[in-house]
Amino acid sequence: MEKLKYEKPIISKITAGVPNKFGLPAKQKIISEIDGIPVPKLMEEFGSPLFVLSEKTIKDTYAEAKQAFETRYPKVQFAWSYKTNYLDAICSVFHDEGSWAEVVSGFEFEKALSNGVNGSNIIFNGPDKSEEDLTMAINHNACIHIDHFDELYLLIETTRKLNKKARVAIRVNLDAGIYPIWDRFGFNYENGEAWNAINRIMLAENLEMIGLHTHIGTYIMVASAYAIAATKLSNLYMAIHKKFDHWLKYIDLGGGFASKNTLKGAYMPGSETCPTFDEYAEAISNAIISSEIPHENLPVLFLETGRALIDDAGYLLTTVLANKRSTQGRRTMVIDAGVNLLFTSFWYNLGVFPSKEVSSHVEESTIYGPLCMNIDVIRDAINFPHAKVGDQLVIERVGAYNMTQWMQFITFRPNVILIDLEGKTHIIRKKENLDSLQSFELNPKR
Amino acid sequence: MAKQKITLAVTGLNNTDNPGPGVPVIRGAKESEDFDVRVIGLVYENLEPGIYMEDLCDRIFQIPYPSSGSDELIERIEQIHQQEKIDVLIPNFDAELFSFMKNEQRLLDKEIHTFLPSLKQFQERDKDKLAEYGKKYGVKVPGSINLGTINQISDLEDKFDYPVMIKGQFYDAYEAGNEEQVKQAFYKISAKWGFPVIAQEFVKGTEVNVIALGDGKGNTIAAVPMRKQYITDKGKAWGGITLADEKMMELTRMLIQKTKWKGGMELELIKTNSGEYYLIEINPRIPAWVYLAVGAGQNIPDALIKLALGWDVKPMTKYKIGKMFVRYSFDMIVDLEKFAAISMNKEI
Amino acid sequence: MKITEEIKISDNGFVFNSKTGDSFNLNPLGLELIKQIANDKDFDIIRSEMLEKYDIDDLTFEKDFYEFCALLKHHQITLQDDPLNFV
Ligand SMILES: Cc1ncc(COP(=O)(O)O)c(C=O)c1O
Repeated sequence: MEKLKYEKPIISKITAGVPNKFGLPAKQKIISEIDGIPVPKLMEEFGSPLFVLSEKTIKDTYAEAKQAFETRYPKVQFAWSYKTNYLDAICSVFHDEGSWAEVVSGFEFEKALSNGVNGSNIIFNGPDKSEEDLTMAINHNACIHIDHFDELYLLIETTRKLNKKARVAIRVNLDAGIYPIWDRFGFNYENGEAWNAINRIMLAENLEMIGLHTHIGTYIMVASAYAIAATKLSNLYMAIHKKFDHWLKYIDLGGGFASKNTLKGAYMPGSETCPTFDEYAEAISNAIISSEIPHENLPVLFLETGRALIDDAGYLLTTVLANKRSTQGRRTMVIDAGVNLLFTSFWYNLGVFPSKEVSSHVEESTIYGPLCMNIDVIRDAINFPHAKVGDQLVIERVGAYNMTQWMQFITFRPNVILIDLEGKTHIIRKKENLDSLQSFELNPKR
Repeated sequence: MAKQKITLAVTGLNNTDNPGPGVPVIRGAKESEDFDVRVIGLVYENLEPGIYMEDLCDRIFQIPYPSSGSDELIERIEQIHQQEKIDVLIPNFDAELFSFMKNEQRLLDKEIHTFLPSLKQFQERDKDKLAEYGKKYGVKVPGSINLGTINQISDLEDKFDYPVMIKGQFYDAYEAGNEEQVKQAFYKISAKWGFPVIAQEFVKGTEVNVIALGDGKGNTIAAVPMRKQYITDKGKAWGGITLADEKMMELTRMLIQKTKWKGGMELELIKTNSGEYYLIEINPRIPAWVYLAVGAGQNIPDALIKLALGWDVKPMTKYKIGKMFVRYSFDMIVDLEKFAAISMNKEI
Repeated sequence: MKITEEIKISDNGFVFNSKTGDSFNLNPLGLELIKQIANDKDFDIIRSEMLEKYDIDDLTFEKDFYEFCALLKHHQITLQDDPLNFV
């Protein structure tokens, strides 16, 4: 006789009345393959945990963003925000699509150069630029975005020493209705500081002012904030023309478009509430086009979009190590990927999904990483089916910031692979090993 | 003429001390002169009192919270629709509206009719945009500052005298009488509801409310003003009385005219001693005290169903002044079977 | 392991503990097992019957069975003995 399908025995308490965040058990989504390649196959070949990036998703997302802006505004230029994901293979995908590079350190600058980006197509942001960094940027004719007065004076001094000109913009901080305001970066718009800085730059003989920059924050859920920012920069753009008879080349609105991840504490899933590229593009283009700027002098619009272009393309594949019951009877599960690999788990409720049908019974669970630390929690409350030891799971939307902010801790960082447009896999960052890590160490005792 | 048979689905059967409007909406619909209503109760929880009330609902179904994703919620509604053929759906929770507004067309394609404000109408009345709203539509609103950090307290002190109201974007409001209390409220609210935290000028006066229904073309189909006579510690009316206040009516008609509001709404106003009206909040749905309007002669649920079905509805302009409602609590005796059925089968 | 007297189990898997007022939901296998436990059946017998009937290996079943029993105890459905009485 054929045996019946087994389903683990379960008893669950019925909570009376009290609003339970989850309501009816949800239908379970399953991610069984990425770009047509089965998850088990990827993990068999490249190990677990494993970061997987989809070139197809990157290109599709980029095309969508580009189209949203180019159909509304005549001159648009994206600059890939290196800090979001600076693996060379990823940067190359963006550069091949026409993206410039946006960097915030000497290291990122050199990385962009080594990826073949022309120095004049590098935007150099951030509060940390040493004299050495500035010298490199001047020599490569980069666009230097000045963050504060000390940097401005250091830059004037450096151009004098080199007897060379620098192409500059300033970073402006402003009230776009987004709280808290990131007023620690750049020069303030509302109190006139930005205008003062512009006046000083216009007087400096070795500085050529070419643009205006702002970055109002990250994961901005209201498109209208960009309209306010664009309007304020447009005002400065016109004021410079009026006073100095000088047209700048560009307005750079930074990054900050929300990815489809869900913030902790958000009621609705981010995939439903975050604006689309079209909505951001509409807000920004309208604001600039309807400003005082004459049509023939419209600036190039620069965008340093990071997370919204890469988050969706990244997956982390992981394996269940153990199931436990807490002393409160709560179901907990340990997986082999910890918060050291998933920095974004601190502010997102990341989506974790089985790679195959595991059980129809879902239960509110806590998912722990494998680290020996209490903070290592990937999800503190998620409705999840009963997975067994060895089952393979997929964490989605992890392409941004994780592969740059990760920490080597306790064990090696895993392989990162890229699936190309033909569906071929490539390791783009090798799993670390003892030699690679020890190669930085010096031991005076031996 | 025989009444038209329709099937009405309603959420918000939580007639607790912080009541949802579902039960009074159903009462209104059942008193309709034009419809013979079959009622489908949609519940999130197994203890919503409406489940247990005799002769209220013909069927009950549990539905998933919108936070698990609109698709799941809508799929469940579609599945119920296959069995029950819903003609009109009246959602009654703020938190649901987003999902239902977004899926209005999808539901309509299945012949489930709703009558909801547009996303734009819904969003422009957000609490942190009240100042702009007041300017745009010419209504007085209390001065407010959106707080992103605690350092803005000095701005607040420059602008307003204590006390001030400190509010969250979605829920929660505290009166704060000094800097320390502002800080406390700020931390409490920002931890729960995020930024901005809204600091509002405290307007002295009496709180008055209007329940209204707009047809989406600028006409006010129904409007009844009311003063809360007793407010519970949850801030809910426990008793209220209809008013004769032409100014409130004008204000309501003007707002509905200018915004072309579609659907039910509640205006929360403060009437100052000098007779000025300040708008403090707009609730984008029928409020829980809707049955007072029905009792006073304006059957708002009935009119909303007609609008949803595309009927031509004439504005109701009369209502009885001085009608009161008094809420009461009542212990129903119910059998465990009903509780077991909704908990286990997710439907009754 | 004994099911406490106050527990009522319905055929649809609804469980009511009349002493605490709590109610519970069993899935089909949970219902099947709790009935066996109520009938005082030995684990060894339950296991061999289950392995006969269902497509499952003995170790997984054992693990699941004991997790289930721990939950029954946690929810005060089975009688508690002193956890520090190490017999
Ligand atoms: C100056 C600048 N530009 C762009 C970005 C990319 O932002 P996002 O990933 O939010 O698009 C950042 C990130 O912090 C940034 O600081």
